Amino acid sequence: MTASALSLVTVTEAAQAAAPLTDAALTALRAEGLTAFAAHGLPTRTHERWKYTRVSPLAEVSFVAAPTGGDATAIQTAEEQALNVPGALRLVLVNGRLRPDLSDAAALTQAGVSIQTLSDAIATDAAAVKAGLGQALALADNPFVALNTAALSDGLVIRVSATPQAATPLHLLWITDAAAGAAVLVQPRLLVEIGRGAALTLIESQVGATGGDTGGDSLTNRVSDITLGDDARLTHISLHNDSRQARLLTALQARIQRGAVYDGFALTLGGALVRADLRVELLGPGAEARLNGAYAAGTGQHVDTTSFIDHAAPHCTSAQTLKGVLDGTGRGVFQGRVNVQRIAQKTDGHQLHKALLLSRGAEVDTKPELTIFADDVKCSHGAATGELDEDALFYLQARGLDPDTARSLLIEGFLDDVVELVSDDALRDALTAKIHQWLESRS
Amino acid sequence: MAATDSTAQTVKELERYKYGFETNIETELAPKGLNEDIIRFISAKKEEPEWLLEWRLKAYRQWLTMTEPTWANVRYPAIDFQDAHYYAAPRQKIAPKSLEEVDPELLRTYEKLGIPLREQEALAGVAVDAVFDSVSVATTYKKRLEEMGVIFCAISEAVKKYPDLVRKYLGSVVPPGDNFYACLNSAVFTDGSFVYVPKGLRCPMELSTYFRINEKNTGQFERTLIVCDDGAYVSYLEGCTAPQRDENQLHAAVVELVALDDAEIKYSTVQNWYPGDAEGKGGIYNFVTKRAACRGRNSKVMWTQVETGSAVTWKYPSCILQGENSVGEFYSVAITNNHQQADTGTKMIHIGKNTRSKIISKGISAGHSDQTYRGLVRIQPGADGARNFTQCDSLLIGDQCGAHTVPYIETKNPTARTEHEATASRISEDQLFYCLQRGLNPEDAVGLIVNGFCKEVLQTLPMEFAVEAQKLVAISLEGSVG
Repeated sequence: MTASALSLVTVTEAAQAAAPLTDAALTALRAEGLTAFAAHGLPTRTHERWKYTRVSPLAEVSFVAAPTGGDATAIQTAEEQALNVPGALRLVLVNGRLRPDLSDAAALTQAGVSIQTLSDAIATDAAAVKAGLGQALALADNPFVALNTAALSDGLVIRVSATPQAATPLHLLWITDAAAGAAVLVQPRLLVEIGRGAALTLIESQVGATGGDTGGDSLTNRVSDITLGDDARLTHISLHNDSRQARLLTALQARIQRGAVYDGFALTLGGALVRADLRVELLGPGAEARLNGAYAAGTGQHVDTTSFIDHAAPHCTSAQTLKGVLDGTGRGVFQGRVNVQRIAQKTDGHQLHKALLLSRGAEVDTKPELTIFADDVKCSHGAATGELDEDALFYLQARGLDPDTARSLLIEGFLDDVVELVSDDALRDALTAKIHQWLESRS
Repeated sequence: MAATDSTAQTVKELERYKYGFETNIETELAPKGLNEDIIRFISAKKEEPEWLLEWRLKAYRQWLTMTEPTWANVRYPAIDFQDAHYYAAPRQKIAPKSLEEVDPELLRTYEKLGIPLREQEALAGVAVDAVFDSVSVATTYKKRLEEMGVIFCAISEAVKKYPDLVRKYLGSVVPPGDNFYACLNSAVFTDGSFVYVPKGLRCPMELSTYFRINEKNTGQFERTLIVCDDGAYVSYLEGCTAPQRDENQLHAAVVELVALDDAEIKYSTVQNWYPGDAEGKGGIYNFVTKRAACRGRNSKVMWTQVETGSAVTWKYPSCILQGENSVGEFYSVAITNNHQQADTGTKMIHIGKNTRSKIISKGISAGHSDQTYRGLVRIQPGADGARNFTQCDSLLIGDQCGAHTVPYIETKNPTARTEHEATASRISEDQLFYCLQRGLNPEDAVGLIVNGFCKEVLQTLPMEFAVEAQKLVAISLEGSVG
């Protein structure tokens, strides 16, 4: 085992000891997670799914358990980094732990929406929590999911059942509060279960308590397990805008039943390392998944989206459009796989990745992958990389724009294209505003 | 003959792998197994110089430390590398100096395969190097080519006659330790062709090598080296067949192409090794390393492949685009039926400025077969203005087959542009209906549609091969519709 694994394991073991579970099955699952992580250690580039993302520098860091954190200034700074969605009910989680004192009280009392901290949910019904944990990202193959599972205690459980009135959107504010000088390890788990015919709009903002370029070292290793019942619907908007020192590893496993729609959009702007592992299973006819997103990475940033969409039933649809802008020595990675099982006839699967390289030293690595075992399908993927169009730049400058403005305008146009895929106006505006902020900060 | 009879006969012919016969000819075999003595035996048989023997032994020692690659999407039982003969040669009294001296039985074999060597020599057109198991048995048109300065001969002959050229380029594109199978080939390669086209010459005829595996329990490990000097051009064709057998045979070739300034090499392959029977028994394991180095400015290499045979294919013809403005192109049609498996594609490594590459891959899967396109496009930091366009289309025929696309695109230069598109679908009902409505039977209709689907690639083949390839496309899909 490498030194890195040691530090991560030590902190995780301490987390286990600090929050013992009474349920035998979950305690065993934790142990299983720790064993799986310890057995494999950190993934290396010989692991196909980590081919383009190095996590070995984690070896050099000695992590500590996250403090409670979250004083008034911290919250205020964090809010500025987050998405601004006026109508949504806010839940604040500092270093993975829910802070009811900072959250909207109404969020916890909505009809049809049950929200519990993970530890409360385990105490209420451990078996139900266990059933909600996804199996798609197997512990043996996903060291960070294994590590998160080993630490199981912080986080949130959201359950939604159908009500005559649609639930008010929820906004989860994940705040990393890392004091300078110490590297904190945060490992929350999010369970979302949308019952038959129910719908929810879930917004997540991952932000740092000190904002932009300051803040201590941190590793957030967050896992989300999402279950959509028949005809359920989840609109899921995420912003990754943590400080420049933050590392964020997210894994999402979603099970989507008959007729249900998962509509996801992720915008990544901040963080030294942001890796999103998406695993979506389309389990019933008519299920649909949209995994769109945009990212921007400047010097010192590495953004990786690795997705696996599994068509396990006929008549399902999946669509994924991702656009990235790479500046300075920023690096973007997209590995997307669409798998069509033999039974999944009449599948419609499309995938597109486009990257804009703004400078020498920037790099983008793409691996869109189709594995198809059924014949009556319509599947395609596309990938393109390039720089800003010289002709377009010239056109704008000929009309009196200075080069910087012209470039910004073109970059904005490039990203707007994919933000357009978000159908809700308020959400789209919130995302566009963040992109604006980023563009201004770079010029 | 009545029309029905002739149709019946055609169908009968088509049903079987028509190259599945075996030639009864006395053969000289090396003992089974692989060790340094066998390599010394091969080297001695070929009367090779000391440096080449050393080269082989070094490769062999390295091979012993390597493990078989497992990343490809193919499944086959473990290969016992000791259970094969690494040298098999038709016994001929003396090395033939002209076609007259070649064993008539061998000439008949090639005639049966549709390559009448004698006729080829009489008619203008294609110069052929015929490789039978481990040795080259005949090369046509040698004299005329020699007069022009083109060297086209068996590589073992080239080692003797042009040692400096061979030594300079052998292993310079695919180094012996490149991968498991290339390393094995470097240790035990037996024959293959060597081509050198001198400065400024446009080789006036197509050069062609015909590979035939005949002997049981042998592997074929040929090595081809083509060097095109400044401003030269050559078009090279390669064809392959093997008898129908229940056990699997290994074919691990290495092909190296070197294009210097302004040179152009066109390399076409129609690969029709025995694919195994309908239950997936037997067939050739085709584990081939093909790579081209576009070393010169404005050099160009074009790979075209029609892959219809082999039980398992593992092959990625690549281009290293080193020279400024160099161009790499890859056109591929791969057809898998029954239980065939193919994992094939290309690599385009852009190093020089303004290098361009184009990849067109058409995969057709039928029956229980599985097919993967696996490709890499890499733009190095220095490749200003590089361009790549990739298109991979897969056609699925039947609901028991698989079609997969695994492209890797790595860009490290902002001025480069890459584009990749891939689609997968089945034959459109509308097209099929249209053809049937006009009186075509379903098999012909599928053949027609598939040929249309592959047209972009097939039309890059030299005419002689294009016709054969079109027929192959139809034959390979026999029994997949209905």
